[in-house]
Amino acid sequence: MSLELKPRVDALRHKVEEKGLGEVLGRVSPGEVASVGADERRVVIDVDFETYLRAGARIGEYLGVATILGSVMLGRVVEVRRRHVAHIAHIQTLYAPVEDPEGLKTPAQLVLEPLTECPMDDLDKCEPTPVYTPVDPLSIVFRPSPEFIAKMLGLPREGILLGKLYAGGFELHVEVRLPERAMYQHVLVVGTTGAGKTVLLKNMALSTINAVRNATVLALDLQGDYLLTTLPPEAPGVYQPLDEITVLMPVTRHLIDRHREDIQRIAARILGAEDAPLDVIDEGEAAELVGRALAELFVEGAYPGAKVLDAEARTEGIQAVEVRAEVEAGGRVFTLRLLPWAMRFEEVYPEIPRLFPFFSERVSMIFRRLVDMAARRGGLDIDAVVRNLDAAAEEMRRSLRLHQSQVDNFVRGMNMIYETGLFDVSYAVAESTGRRVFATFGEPDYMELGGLVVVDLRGFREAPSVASAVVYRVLSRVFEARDEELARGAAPSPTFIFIDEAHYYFPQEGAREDFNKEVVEAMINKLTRLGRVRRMGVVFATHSPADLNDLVIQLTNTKIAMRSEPKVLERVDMSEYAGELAYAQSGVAVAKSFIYRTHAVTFKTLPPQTRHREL
Amino acid sequence: MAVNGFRVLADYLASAKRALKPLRVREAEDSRPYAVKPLEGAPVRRVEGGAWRFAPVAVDGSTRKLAGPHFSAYVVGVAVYGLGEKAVDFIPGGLGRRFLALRAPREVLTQVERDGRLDFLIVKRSDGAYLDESCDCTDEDIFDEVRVSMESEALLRVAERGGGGLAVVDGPIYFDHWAKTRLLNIRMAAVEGLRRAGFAAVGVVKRVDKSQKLCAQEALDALSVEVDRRYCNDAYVASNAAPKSGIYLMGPFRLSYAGGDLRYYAFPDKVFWYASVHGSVFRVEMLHDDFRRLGGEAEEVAAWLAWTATSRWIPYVIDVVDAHAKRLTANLLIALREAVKSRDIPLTYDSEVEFLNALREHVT
Repeated sequence: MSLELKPRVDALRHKVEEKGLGEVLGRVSPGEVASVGADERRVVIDVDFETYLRAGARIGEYLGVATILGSVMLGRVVEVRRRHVAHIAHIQTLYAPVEDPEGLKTPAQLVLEPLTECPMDDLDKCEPTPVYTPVDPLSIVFRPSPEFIAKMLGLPREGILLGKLYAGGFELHVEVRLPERAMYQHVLVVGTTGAGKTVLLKNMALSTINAVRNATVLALDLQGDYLLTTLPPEAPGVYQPLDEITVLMPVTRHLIDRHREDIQRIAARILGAEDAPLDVIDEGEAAELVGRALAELFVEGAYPGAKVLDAEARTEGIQAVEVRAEVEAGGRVFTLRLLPWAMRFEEVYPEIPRLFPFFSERVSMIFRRLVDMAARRGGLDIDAVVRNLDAAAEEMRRSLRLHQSQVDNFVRGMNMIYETGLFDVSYAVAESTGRRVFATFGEPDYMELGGLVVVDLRGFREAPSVASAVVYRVLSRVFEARDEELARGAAPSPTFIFIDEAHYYFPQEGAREDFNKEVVEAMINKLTRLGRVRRMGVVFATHSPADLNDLVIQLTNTKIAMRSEPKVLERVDMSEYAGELAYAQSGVAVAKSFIYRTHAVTFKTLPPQTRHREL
Repeated sequence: MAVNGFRVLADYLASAKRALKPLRVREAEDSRPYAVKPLEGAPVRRVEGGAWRFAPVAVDGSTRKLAGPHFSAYVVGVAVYGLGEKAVDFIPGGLGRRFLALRAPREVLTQVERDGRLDFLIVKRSDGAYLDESCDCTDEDIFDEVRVSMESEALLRVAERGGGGLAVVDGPIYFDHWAKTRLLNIRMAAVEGLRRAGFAAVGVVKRVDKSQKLCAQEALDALSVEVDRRYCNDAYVASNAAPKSGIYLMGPFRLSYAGGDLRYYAFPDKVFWYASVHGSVFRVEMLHDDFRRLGGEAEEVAAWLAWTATSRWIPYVIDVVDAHAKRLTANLLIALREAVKSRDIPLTYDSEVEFLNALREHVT
C-alpha cells in the first residue's frame, strides 16, 4: 500500500466514530472481489473472531460501509460464512470427528448487498441514491445507528405507522410508515392464521385515524375485532384506545324477534317500570327507548361486563337513527355511536336484481314493473309486496305475457329476499287494536360518517349472502357519498376501507352460497379502480390470496406479507421473500411498495395497541 | 510490509557482482551414542479412539528457498495454533518479524544489514558468522538456523501466555546433532520457558526414514521385529511392527545420550512412541521429565495425536499448523519472486519450480 493511502484508510475509521455512524465491526475483505455492478452487488466483510463473538452477525441485518472514495453506504447482510480452521486448511481426519473448539477462532465473513449511498461529508443533506460508486477492500464496516438506517433507507417520516424496522431477527428503533398517498393505491396484507394480520390492521386503523386528518376508517368486522379498539391493551402502546367508535349495526327481523323480550325488558327498566309492559304514547320517545335498548343489548354482547353510563337516542319520526352511549369498559369510558341499520325496500328495490342475482335475466329486466304491480295492491314495503304476490301473479302473466316459470322465479326470489329479514325492519308489538310499530330502522347519512366506523357483521358469518348484501349496500353508498363530494368540486373526505378476511367477500369456485358475492366483488373492484381520485383506499387482509380476484392483486400497489407458505407469496409476487417469511415470527412482515426506495422493507408490527382477541 | 521490503531487497541483490559457490550437501547424520530402552512392557497397542480431550497449542515452521547465481533467500514462516484470540498466529505477523535468511556476497550482506527497512532479514548465523560466499554450511543448516530460532520465539510467546497444557511442535523437541549446540540451547531455553509456564512440550516427527532409534537391539526385541541392522530405519521397523490396518502406538521408549563424549550430556533424556496410521508412521516425543510429570496421561497424549490423524497421515493439530505455515511461505515466496524478477535478477531452475509449486498451493 502506498504511503498516501495508509492515512486515508486509517482516517476512515476515525470518521465513522467521529460522526457517530455506528460501531466499527471490521473491514471489507482484501481476499475477495468487492463487486458493485448492474447485475451483482456483493461485498464480503471480514470480522475478527473476537468481534464476531461479542457483536454477533445476523442474516438480514443492516450494516454501513465507509469507502475510501468518500462514500458511506447502507447494505444488508445476505450471507454469513463461518469456517472452522480444519476447512480452511482442507483437513479431514480419518477417524476422530473434529471437535476442536480452537478451530472456531477464524474471522467471520459477512456478504453484504449494498443498498443506498451518500457522500460521507454531505450526509446530513444527502438524499440517498442507489449505489453507484465502488467499494474498495479495506473499507470500514460498521453496525449503523437507527438514525443512519432510517436516513439511508429513505423511510417516510409521516404516514400510517406499520411497525418497527426488523433486521437480523431484531426490531430496531426505526419506524416504518406508509404514507397516506400509498393508502389510496390500496394495500393487501397476506399471512397465515396467527401471523398477526388482524393486529396489524387494527393498529393501522388506529394510526390512520391519528395520522390522517378527518379520516373515516370503515372496517368490515366479521369477528368483532374492531369493536375492541376502544379498550386498552395489556401493556400501554404508542396510541391511546379510541374515545369514540361508530358501529353500523345491521338490524334484521330475526334479530328483533330474538330480542323482542330483551328490548321490552330494557325499555321498561329505562322507564323505571321494571317488568312493566312497554306503554309509551309519544312515538318519538318509543323509538328512542327501542334504540337505547338495542344499544344496551349491543354493549352486553360486544363488551361483556361493561356498563352503559348514559345514552341518548336521536330519532326521526319513529326511526331510531342513532344512539350515543357513554360506555364504561376495561377501566375506561368511551362513546359508542350506534347506528341501527336496515334497508328500506322502497329505496333499494331497483337494485335488488343486482344485489340478489337469483332472478332470471328476463325477470331482472322487468323487476321494477313486477314489484310495482304487487305494490299497487298494498304499498311499496316488502310485507305488502310479498303479501300481494299471488294476487299480482295473474296480472303479470296476462299483461306482460310472462311464462309461468318466470312468474314463479319472481315469486320465489321475492320470498327469499323477504326471508333475509334485511328490509323494512321495525320493532312492533301486537296489541288488541292491531299491530303497533314502536320503531323503524333505516340507513344513516353516509356523508356524516367519520372516525372508526365498524360494520358489525358478527351475526352473519353463517349467512354470507346477507352479509354480502349489507357490505355491498354500505360500500356503494359510501362510494356515492365520496362521488358526490367530488362532483361538488370539494376534496372528498379521506376514507379507508379495512377488509379483514377479504377472501370471504369474493366468490369461490363451486360454492353455491356465493351467489351474490359477485356483486360485492364488482363493488370492491370498483373501489380499487376508481377509489384513488375519490380519496378512498382499501386495505385487504387474507390468508388466502388465491381467492381474491386478479384485479385486486394487480391494483393493490402495496403488498404486505407476513408468515406465509411459498405459494401464497407467489400469488402476490413476493416469492423472493419466502426464505425470510416461511417461518417468520408473528408480527414480522415485508412491505413491498413503490413508496420505498429499497422497494421492500421488513418490519415488525407494534404489539396490539388496543385490546386484542387471542385466537 | 513484506512487499515493500522485498523491493528494497531486490535492489540490493541486483547490485551483486559475484556469483556464490554452491553449498555442500549435508552428509548423513553421525551415529549418535544413545541408548533406547522400552518402558512399561507391552510396546504395541491398538488405538481405539476416544474423546477429543486435548486442546494443545501447536507450532510449525515451513521453509522455502529462492535462489539465483548471486544469492539464496531462505524464507521461513511459522504458524502457531490455539494461542490466543485468533485460531492461528504467524511469524511474520503478530508474533515476530524476522523470517528471511539471506546468503549473498559479503558486501551485499553488510549493506542490507545497515538498512533499517530490512529488519526482517537474517544475514548471520547464531554464532555470528556471515552467510556469505565462505559460509561453511548447508542449505539445511541455514533453514535450521532460521526455523529453530523462529519456532523457539513462538514457543516463548506460548510460554508468555501461560495457562499450561500441551505445546505440540512439528519436529523433534530438540536437534541431537552435536554440532548444533547453539540451536539446542535456543530450543532448550524455549522448552524450559514452556515448562515453567506449566506446558509439556511434545514433538511430532513426520520424516523418520533417516532415524534409527528403533534399530537398537532392545527396541527391535521389544517390537519382535527382525531386521538386518545395517539396513535399518525407524520407518521400516515401525511399519513392520504394527498391522497395516488401523492405528497403533509403539512405545514408550526412553532415549538416553551416553558414552564417553561429554558433549552429549547437554541432551536431556527423551521418551518417544511411534504411531502407525494404516502403515504410515510418525514419532511422538517428549522430555523424560515431562513424561514423568504427566504420568499415565503422557501415553494418552500420544494416542490422541495418533487417533486424530488426518488424510495426510499426521496429527490434526500438526496438519493445521503445517497447512497454514505452508500457505504463508507460499505467499511470501510469490511476493519475493515478483520483486526479484522485476529487477531482472535470474533465478535457478529449482527456484522457478518452487515458485510454480507455491503458486499452485496458493490457488488451492
